[in-house]
Amino acid sequence: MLEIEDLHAFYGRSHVVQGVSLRVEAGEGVGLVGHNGVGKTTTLKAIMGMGPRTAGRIAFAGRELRGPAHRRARLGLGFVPDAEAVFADMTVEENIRAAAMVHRNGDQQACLDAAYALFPMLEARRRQFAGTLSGGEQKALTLARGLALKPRLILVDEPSEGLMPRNVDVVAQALHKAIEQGIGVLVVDASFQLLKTVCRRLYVMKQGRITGAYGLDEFPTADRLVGAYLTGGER
Amino acid sequence: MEHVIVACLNGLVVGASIALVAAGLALLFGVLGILNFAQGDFFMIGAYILWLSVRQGISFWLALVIAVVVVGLVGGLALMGALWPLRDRPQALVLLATIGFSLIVEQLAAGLVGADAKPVAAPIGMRIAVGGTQYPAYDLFVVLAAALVLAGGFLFLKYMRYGIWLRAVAQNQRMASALGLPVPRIYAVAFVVSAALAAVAGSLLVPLTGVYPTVGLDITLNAFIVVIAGGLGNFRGAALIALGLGVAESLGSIFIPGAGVQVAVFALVILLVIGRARLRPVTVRL
Repeated sequence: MLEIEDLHAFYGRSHVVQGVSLRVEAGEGVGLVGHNGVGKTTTLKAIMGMGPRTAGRIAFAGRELRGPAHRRARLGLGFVPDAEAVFADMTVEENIRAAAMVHRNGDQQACLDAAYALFPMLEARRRQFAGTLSGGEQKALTLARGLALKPRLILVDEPSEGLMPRNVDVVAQALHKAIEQGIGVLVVDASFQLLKTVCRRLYVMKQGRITGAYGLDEFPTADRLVGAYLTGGER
Repeated sequence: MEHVIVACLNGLVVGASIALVAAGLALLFGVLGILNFAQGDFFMIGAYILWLSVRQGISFWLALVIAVVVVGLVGGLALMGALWPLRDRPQALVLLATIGFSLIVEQLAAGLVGADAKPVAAPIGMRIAVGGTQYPAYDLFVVLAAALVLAGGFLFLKYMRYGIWLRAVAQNQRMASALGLPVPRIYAVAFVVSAALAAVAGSLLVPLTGVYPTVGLDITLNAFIVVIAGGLGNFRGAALIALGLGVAESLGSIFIPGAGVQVAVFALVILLVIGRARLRPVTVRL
């Protein structure tokens, strides 16, 4: 579904992503992990066409991905950024509808119902301005909004960051459900709890490169993963 | 008492037309961060198209529709075309471009039709008895029409697809784009609606003011004041303050001689701006 070959991404002169190749199938959860600043978010933004200058090949559903972000989104590529992403002066419901309305003949009520089924906390606040939600609720809203676009594959950046464990579970379950519906998920995250619910495979990234690809079953415990590749890795 | 009532009504008429122009300014600023100095020219072209159409024997009402549609589509999209190449350039450049656009349009109008004022008769000649005087019904119609158009604009922003998208783009354009919202088309809608709002005001006011190349100047200045005071990008705030400003100026001129009213209004605006300076940056709000 998503095939990336030798992707490079640049911000000005800094060469952030240095030849990343990876693959995500439909209905598959794939994690991208690594230390802060190794280029995970930049990789997602490069795929989405949101900012960095890129070189290399990105194929999505058999077509070369190019052009501005909104064209890529319309091919069925969803994006859930890590922060400052809700439309703060719009209500929760308007946030979701803005994405749902991209499909001219889509059933918006069905989209809203689906979003509220995944995240009941949003339904209680549906007429509230998104800017007044807590950090966790805003995370849920960005994810609900990303899914309202009905993507075939969704890029998710740090969905569990700053969430209480109970809410990490809610988010992980939502992503798991998306995968069951056949949506491909490429998720950048550091929570073992989330990764083991969502992902079947993991790519580890270091200094702009993929340094390893693993099945998640190679990491029976969080300690193994964290110890080897995440926050504690190179200390 | 009579002249107080008449002054109030006059103020409402002026305020309503300022509100239309200001709403267009607020929209364009909120969505694109563009302070459009050509807004008064859309007002003026609307007036000219109405006058030309009426002179061709077209009914006033049809002429009104023609003026609004032509200015909205042609004017709005022409301005967008002029500013599009500058979209990633410094704001000052965009601002200058709107001033340039404005100068070109004004000179064209003066050259093509002459600088003298052209009258157009009001389509409603009736007068209505208000508080002991006879007030022209058309003037009241202008207020009503402006109110309806603004209410329509509000509902558009609140409920319609492109209305919701306009607000989304205003708040976070990159995110809106990543969600598949067609950003260039949303820009176009903002330009068209903004220009059309000015044209509504321009053509509605022709029977009261006549048409001349600088007819939009005063009202645009007032509209800028209103938009700044209301919080740039605040659609409803702009509309309400415009009405207040119109009435206040009109009433004030009874009691304060000469330019005193303008001075007082400017003083008030400066206070408002200072008060707002500490607030967060603005986007299109309802």
